[in-house]
Order: sequence, then C-alpha cells, then structure tokens
Amino acid sequence: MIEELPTRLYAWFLQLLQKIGLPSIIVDIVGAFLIAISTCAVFLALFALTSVLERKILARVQNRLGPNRVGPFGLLQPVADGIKMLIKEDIIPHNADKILHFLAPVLALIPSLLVLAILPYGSNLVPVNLNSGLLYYFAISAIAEIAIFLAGWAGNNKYSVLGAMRAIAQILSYELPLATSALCVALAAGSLSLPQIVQSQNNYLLGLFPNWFLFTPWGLAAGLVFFIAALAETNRSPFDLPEGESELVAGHLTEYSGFKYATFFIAEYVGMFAICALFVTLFLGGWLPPLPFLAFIPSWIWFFAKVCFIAFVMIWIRATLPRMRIDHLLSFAWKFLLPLAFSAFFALLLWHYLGRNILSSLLSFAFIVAAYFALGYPFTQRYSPRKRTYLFSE
Amino acid sequence: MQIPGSGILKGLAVTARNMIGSYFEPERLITQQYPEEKPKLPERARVFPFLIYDGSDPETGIRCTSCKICEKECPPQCIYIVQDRDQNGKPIKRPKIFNIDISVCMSCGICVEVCPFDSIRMDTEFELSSFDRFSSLILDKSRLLKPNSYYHQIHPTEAAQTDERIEAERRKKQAASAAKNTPSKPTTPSQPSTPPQTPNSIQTERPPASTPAATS
Amino acid sequence: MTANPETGSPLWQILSNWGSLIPTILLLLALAGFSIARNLIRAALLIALAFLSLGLLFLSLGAEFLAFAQILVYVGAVAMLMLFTILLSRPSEREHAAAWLDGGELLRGFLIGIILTFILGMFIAASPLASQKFQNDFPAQTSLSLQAIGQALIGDAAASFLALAVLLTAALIGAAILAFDERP
Repeated sequence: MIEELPTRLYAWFLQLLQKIGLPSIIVDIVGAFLIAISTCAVFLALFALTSVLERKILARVQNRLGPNRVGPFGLLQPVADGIKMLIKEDIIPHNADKILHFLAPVLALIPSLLVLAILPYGSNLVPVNLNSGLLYYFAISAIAEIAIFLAGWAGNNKYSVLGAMRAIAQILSYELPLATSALCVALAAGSLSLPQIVQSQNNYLLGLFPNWFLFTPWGLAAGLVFFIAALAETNRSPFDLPEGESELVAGHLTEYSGFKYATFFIAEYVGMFAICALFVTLFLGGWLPPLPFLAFIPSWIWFFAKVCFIAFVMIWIRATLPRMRIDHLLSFAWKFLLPLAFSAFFALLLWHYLGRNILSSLLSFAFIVAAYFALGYPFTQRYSPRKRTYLFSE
Repeated sequence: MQIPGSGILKGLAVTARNMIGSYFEPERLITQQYPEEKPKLPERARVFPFLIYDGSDPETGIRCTSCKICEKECPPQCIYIVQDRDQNGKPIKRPKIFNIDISVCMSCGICVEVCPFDSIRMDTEFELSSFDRFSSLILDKSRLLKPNSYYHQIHPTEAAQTDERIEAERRKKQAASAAKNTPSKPTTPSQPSTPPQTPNSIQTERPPASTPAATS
Repeated sequence: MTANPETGSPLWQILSNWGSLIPTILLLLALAGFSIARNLIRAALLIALAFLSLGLLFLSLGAEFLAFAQILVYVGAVAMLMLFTILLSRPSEREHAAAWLDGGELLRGFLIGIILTFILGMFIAASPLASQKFQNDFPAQTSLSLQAIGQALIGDAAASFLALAVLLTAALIGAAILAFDERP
C-alpha cells in the first residue's frame, strides 16, 4: 500500500480531474506538470532541509551547537535564509551584460532540475523512462558548464572570469573519470536506462548479500572514482575551489547577490542530490533493499535513505578535508582518477569475460588493488619543493 | 609503505569521533547560549566603574569625597564631578553630581588605582546597550552607586582585601589619635564632633566589616 | 508513474506533429544571430544555443540517443572548447565597438553562405542517402535500439566515424588558429 502510495495518489487525482469533465488533453498536461512539480518539490525540500542539517553536522563535528534560534532546533532556518536572500539588493554591475547576467542563474538551475526527470525513485516511480537515461544525465549536466561560464563572463569582472575558467577546467577534467566509471556500470548492466541498471543489480548472493555494483571488484574502484568525481562536479569540499570564498571572492559568483546568488546555491545543492541519486542508482542498487527480507519497506524509502546517506558522507568529507589547490586538483584528476577509471574498466572486462565467477572476481580485484597502489604511490610521497634559484640575488 | 588514502580515512575517523562525541559528552560542547545562559565571568573581570557606598543609604554612605582625582586622571575624561555644598554654600566632601559617560569610558581602571578612598571600583555589568544614544549611556550617581555587599558579591577576594586595608588604617588612626588625642588633620566642617579619623569623615561611617554603623 | 503520454493521446499527437517547430525556429534564430554577431563570446554562446536546439530537434524527431550525444558533445565539449579558445587567445585588433556586423560584411558573408550551401547541396544530392534505393534498403525506423547504433559505429561505419573525428579535430585546431592573433 505505502509502496504504491504516490502512484495511487496520482491516478486518483487524474481520475478526479476526468470526472469533473476536463478534456483529456488538459488532464494529460496537468498530469505531466504534477509529476514535474512534485519531483522538483521533493528535491527543493531536501535542499532546504540539508542547508540547515549540513550546518548542524558541521557544527557538531567542530563541537558546536549549530543554528538553533529559528524554530524548533533551528529547523526554520532555511525560511529565514530565503527571506533574507529575497529582500537583499540585487546588484547588477554597471558594465555587465545584463541579459546574460540574468540568464546565468536560470541556466544553472534548469539543468539541475531537468536531470531529476530520469532518476528511478522507486520500483514503479520513474518520471521518464528513457532508453539512454545515463547519457541524458551527462548531456544535461553539460549545460550547467555554460551557465558557470556565463556567470563568470556576464559580470564583466576579471576575477569572476578567472574563477569561471578554473571552475570549468575542474568540471571538464572531472567529467572524464565520472563518465568513464559510469560507462563501466552501463557495460556491466548492458543498458543505459537507469531502471534497467537497477534491475540488473536485483539479486542476492546466497540469498543475503546484495549484488550491487559497488560490491564487485571493478565496481569498488569505479564507485570510488565516481564518488570523488561527483564531489568535484558539484563543487563540494575538498574540491570547492571554484567558489573559494576565502581566496577567490567566490569565483564566478563574485558579481552576484541576493536571490540570483541563492539560485546558484539551490542549483548546486539540487545537483548534489541528483548526483548522489545517480551514485545510488549506479552503484548502490537504487531502490533495492540491502537485504531481501527488508523488502516490506517501500522502495522509494530505501532510495531516499540511501541518497541521504551519501549526502551525509559528502557533508562528512566537507567537515574533514581542507580545500585543494588548483594544480593538485587537476593533477589528481588526470594522474590518479582517470587511470583508475580506466583500470576499473579493464577489471570489468576481466571480470566479465572470465565468466563473472569467484576466480574472475579475485583476479580483477587483484588487478584493481595493484592499480590503486601503483597510481596512489606518487601521492603518498612527501612533497619536497625544488631548490629555488634566484636570478638577481646572490 | 603508506597506503594511499589512509590519511583521509584517519581524518574521517577523527571528525566522526568528534561529531558523535558531541552528542554523548556534554563537556565537549563549550558554547554558552548567552541570553538564556549568563556567562560565568572570571573574578577579575571588569567593565565599567561604579561607586561604593557603605551601609544601606547611598546618600550618607557614599565613600566618594569628590576629591576629583579620578576626574583629572581619567584618560578619555569621561568622569564629571560637581562637589556638593551645604545650605551656607560651604563645600562638603560629597559629590553633588557624579557622571560617567560609558560611551567614552575605555575600561582602563585608572580611576580605581588613583582613588585614595577606595570608593570607585570596576563593575562586571556589561549588558548596557540601549535604544538611546546619549542620556542612558551617561551613568549618573543613582545608577553608579552600589552597596559594598555588591562589591563583595562580584569581586570577593578584592573586596575582602580592600575592607581589611581600610579597617587596618582605621585602627591605626584610632590608635594614633587615642595616643595623641589630637586630630591628624583639621576635621571637616560638617562633622565637627567626630573623633579624628581617616581623612574623610564620611568614610568613618563605614562599619568595620560586620558591625553596623556606629557613628553618625 | 510515467510522464510519457500514451502514443494515442491527443497531447502526444500534438507533440509529435508540432514538437519540432520550436527547436527549428530556435535553431534558425540562433544561427542567424551567430552569423551577424561581432562579439566573439556572444557568437560562441549563440552557436551553443544552436547546438542545443539541434539536439532538441533530434529529440522531437524521436532520435533520443543522437539528441543526447549531440548535446553532450557539442554543448558540453565543442562549445566549451570554443569559449576557452576565445578567452585564452588575445582579443583581435579588428574588433570594433559595434556589436553586430555592418551591411557590407553581411553581404559578403551572405554570398559565401550561398556558395557553401550550393556546394553542400550538390554533395547531398549526389550521395546515396538521397537515392530511392537507399531509402528502400533502410526504411525509416521509429526507434533504433542502442545496441544497433553501437554495432554500426564500431562495425560498418567505423571508418567514416574515425574520419569524422579527425575532421572535427582539424576543424577545432583551425578555429583555434583563426581566433589566435599573434602579437609581438
């Protein structure tokens, strides 16, 4: 019953509309809007909740209490923040490209809401079941890069242009490992459709152990790469240097204030949840319960529980790691993540063509471990700066 | 060989320990919820000066003799004193007006150090913000005067030392005057009948530690 | 729960009949703006819009995979590469204050465009794609499976695929050289 609650509510509402006597075309349009609005509303509510819970968690890590003034336990803080952002002055620089300056936050928000359309939220909760859903995700998130560039360029400020360049350099270089590790999953599942990828993880080893892709030897590496690249794609700490507010005056967001600034943040957080949801779909079995006898809990609860757990891990990492430097960031992407993604790809081939049994698993696991240590070795070496030679002194 | 990424795991363990620990070990949370929970100030905390009076009546028990040393020494010159006069127009050793402009005061405590009568001390009251920019930030005599018991309450050690010193001085003076039977200084016009004592006649009204006021 | 209306519903009818109209208009407008914009950044953004609306056009024609690949590659990579190239190379001295091209430049561009269209049209008309035999051999399919596209890309069409890739790279290098204005 609870499992089918959203679908039944939806069907009941549409039937109600039909009974009133609305023409079927309007019912169709209303139905489509209803799905879109409810999906966006869920994620915007998650954003509002996270904006206060993240601060709470960060505060607890630092042995503080966190926001606790507005409402019970400070839970109404997002409302206060929203009102604050709305009544702030919206500054448009004098020499800015006014149309693009307005367009950039809109263009940042739209893709992050669009990607929510294809995620499978439950066993029968897929807003749009696309055949090439995974490709759709990457295609739509590519539009967000344009938004970042626009935001940097429209303000007519050299700092924001530089910030935008850095942001795009980061996002472009992390898109490769992200896509490569997602490709591994698509190959293993034999499909680009996200519901089908979830279905292909739907069996349990010995009836107990979930057969999720994260628990395969290649999936471990691919999942790690995907997670790290996802952190970088959504500008999460320790890769949050595009808007390093302490170094770069917030990068491409320098010239934004008021609600446009808030819009960028909404886009960032919704994008973070979307990529958490994608990680859960690809590697953590989507809406599947971790143990077969836990299937009585509705699938969409499992899905959102997993998404919130991944989001919590992201916040946990933000509380732990300091911000990286741009050259470290790029060399990490190209010298560690991308080769590791390729070795995960190779391990997948080993695993698949040797018959997906224990022997092939062990072999590909050994390969992954060897690759991990070989690639990680240079990063464990202590950094010793080269001796400086001065041209004009001494 | 060091395992790549082990440092990150170590760091994550530290932050997780702190996060979970903050829920179970209350001593980790050192934040004071200020308006609800008053901060426990250290004993030597000082904010702005106040005037001490002895006994229960601020008018008669005031220690200040309006000698105006503090007014002259105050670096930002935030003290304003007008000496009181009796019906005949003769000045008496008591301030008529004693104002401290706390919007100017810089809490240096020099007035406390220079006061020869131990009549001005630093307060710990800090919630002095107001909606009014001028008049409520100038503390007049009625707001400055606080009993000696209040001083004992906020700075117990310092107050006890001060009381001890005043008592010792008083005993010494008494002993000296008993021996010579002459005043060390000319007595004040308002207190002609009192036995010779400390330089300030009003000061003598202060009870020795615990006994009630004996002289008038 | 699925938002795809049933293929028989009136909404679906309207979408499939008229859905490609908006992307087409958008594409033409973006391309027109691209050809007369003098500001390089604006031109690059307009061509990104054109790529995007081309993707939407493919989508409205039912070529889902092609549409997303178009957006991913052209908007995500090619347009970004153009923007990077423009920003990293120095501004050209020929750049005037005017935002759009003047009449003479427009005329010259128009003539070159007509010649190019003519040449391209000749090639297309001469290609086997336009012949009746090709259309008989490969009847239009409403939905081509991903597997079939993948097989074709690494099988029969591999050579032309690689040739296209090389052509694209050459075009990008050419664009970089055009945009790069060397100064002493």
